[in-house]
Amino acid sequence: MGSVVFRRRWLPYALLLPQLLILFVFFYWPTVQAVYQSVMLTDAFGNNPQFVGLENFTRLFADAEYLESVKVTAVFSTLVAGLSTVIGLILALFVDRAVRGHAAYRSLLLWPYAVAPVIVGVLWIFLLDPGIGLVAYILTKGLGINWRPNLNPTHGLTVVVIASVWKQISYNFIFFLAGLQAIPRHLIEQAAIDGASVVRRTRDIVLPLLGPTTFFLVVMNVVYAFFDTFGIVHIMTRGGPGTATTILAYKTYRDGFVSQDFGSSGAQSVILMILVILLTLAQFRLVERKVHYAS
Amino acid sequence: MSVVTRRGLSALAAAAIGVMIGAAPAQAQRTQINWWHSMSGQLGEWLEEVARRYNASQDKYELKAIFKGNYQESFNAMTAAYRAKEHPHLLQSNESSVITLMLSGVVEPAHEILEKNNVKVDMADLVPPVALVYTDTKGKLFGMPFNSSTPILYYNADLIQKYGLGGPPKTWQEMEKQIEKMKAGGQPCGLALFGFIPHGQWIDVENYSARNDIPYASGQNGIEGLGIEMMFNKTSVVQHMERLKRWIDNKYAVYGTAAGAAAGGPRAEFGEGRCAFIIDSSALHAQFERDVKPKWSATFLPHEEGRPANNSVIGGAALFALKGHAPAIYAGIGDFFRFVAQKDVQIYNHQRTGYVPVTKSAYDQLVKDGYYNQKPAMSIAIRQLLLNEPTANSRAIRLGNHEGIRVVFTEEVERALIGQKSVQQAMDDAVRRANELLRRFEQQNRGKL
Repeated sequence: MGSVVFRRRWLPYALLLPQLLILFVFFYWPTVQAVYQSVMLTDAFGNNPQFVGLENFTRLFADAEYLESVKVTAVFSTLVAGLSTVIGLILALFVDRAVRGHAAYRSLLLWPYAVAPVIVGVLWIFLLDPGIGLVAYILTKGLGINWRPNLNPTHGLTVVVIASVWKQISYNFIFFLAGLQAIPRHLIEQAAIDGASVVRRTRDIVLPLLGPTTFFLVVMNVVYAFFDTFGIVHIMTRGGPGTATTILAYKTYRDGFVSQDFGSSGAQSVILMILVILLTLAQFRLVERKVHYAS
Repeated sequence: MSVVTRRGLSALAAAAIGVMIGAAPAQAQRTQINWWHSMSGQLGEWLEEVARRYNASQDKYELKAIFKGNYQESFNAMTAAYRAKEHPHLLQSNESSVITLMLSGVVEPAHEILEKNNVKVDMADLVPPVALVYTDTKGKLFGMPFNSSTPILYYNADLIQKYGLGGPPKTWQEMEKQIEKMKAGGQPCGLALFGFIPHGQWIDVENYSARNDIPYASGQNGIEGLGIEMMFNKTSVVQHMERLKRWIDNKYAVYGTAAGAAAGGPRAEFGEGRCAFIIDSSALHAQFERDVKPKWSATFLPHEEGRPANNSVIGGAALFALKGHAPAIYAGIGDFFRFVAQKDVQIYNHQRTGYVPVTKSAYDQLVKDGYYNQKPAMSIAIRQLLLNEPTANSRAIRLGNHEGIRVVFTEEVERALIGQKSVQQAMDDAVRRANELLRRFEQQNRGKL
């Protein structure tokens, strides 16, 4: 494939400009602001700015609360990314094999992705709240569990994980389904002729070929668990009980918009940003290398 | 309409344009004042009505009420707007934001606006716990008191009668005995508790401290300046938290949640008759009249046996005029402040919502009119505020980063409630972390005081 040559040198830039403008206004400018804020100390209005160097960062790493939040985030995002990937994969495997109603299953399984996180939180409150929830009622009356998401850290974490996983399953499902459909039929058919069982075919052919998709999804799911679950946490637990569900993104919000400590909040945003950049780099590196595996 | 000729139509159009042109100057004569507020639901309807009544009362200004989310959300929206120089003219902001606003220099003090517009507000007539929150160090009004409430004890009168308790409890000790009796009789819950952010904190720590005449923070709860420290780990707040934990553990009380709040929460527990008591803002009076199913009434906030039972402190909000607008705007705001200060407006606000009248004269008027004979529960909050000359512990609370302190307190007390640490340890940790926030605030505002 030969490269396209533009006669006028400004044309490609002009064509890129609208996109670049959007990127600048909504991504680069806030990023610059966050970095600026992370080395400053100001009041809520940005008055009285004092340059404090890396003090906001060193304070964070000396703060037991922040390290606690790192731990919570690690547990939370592992659970969310792990569970939603596995469940999404299982559902995709089944739908891929479904003979009839393929399209209907696919549409129904995609729905949750269209629901806003806050609404997801509210929906699950109506199922899991000890006062009104149906699932909570079954847990308490049927299984004899002392269900107290507001006073039991494990229960608290469970409710936000369930809601977050539920929403993300759809995303994983559709990518896995696409991945499955890209696997050449003849590979599976040959294996079947050779007498390989469904389990064997899935384990030795399908899953390895889904490797790049899986890796991509794990990265996307971790990013989802880090950021997009904010609405769910905010509506369901407010980071509680105690700090059992205070993930890093929630702490960043709280320290900035509740405690009006924009310096610390800025520093936390910068750390989160670095984490995501590292994740994305890792993804590019590994996926680029693995993507040729199939062909 | 077939008879309408083309000429007729154009005449009509010309007439219409004429009307528009004629109307335009009349419209423009009214100076528009943007007012960001945080009242939703029934309280939102009330505030809209206040704006409507003000607009109908004169023809120079057009007050436009804009809902911007809860107090915290509207405050954040305002700070962001201020940075972009797009801030509103008038902001309704809550009591915990006063010190931040004072030090920020973004507010045109209320007393200056009142003086410039020859509006007289008699400081001695203001209810002291209201005035003390919104005045500067020289005793002059910084924000215009608007909606003030205080927590009171709402009780299920049917249950008090059913169990022959002889009346609502005056002390926490009495309440415990009453709940014991009701629990023995099969009542599922005694007290409906809010989660601590921010409501439970306001009720069970801040007002608990004021009512029992114990310090919440040093320096008269922060009135004396920024170099102060929290004190609730050394007072009976610790024992009170231990009591609430005991109550939650043995189901004398239910503990609210963020999730529960979305589903009705503690107010529904009380309203449906499952819990016998709830301590809530007096501003919930109107909503309870509509929603609470059993027969109910209200009484004073319980206190500790043997403690003096002081006045409580207020919550709610005041009106703050923001800097950087045209003089005509401030004239309008001054005119609106005059309207708000009127006795009949205050009486209307009080009767419609349960917020207290902010002047003694409005309260006296209501007493004289016999209003409280029909609605005795409505008198509880204002009487509780006027109970005594406020002491150093019950004047006002003025803490930098108060919302952050409330967050820290909640995190720590919940760690005790879920058994991760003892209550004393949790209170010690909360004080240590809150003091760090106070130092941070001091550092942020270095050189301003």
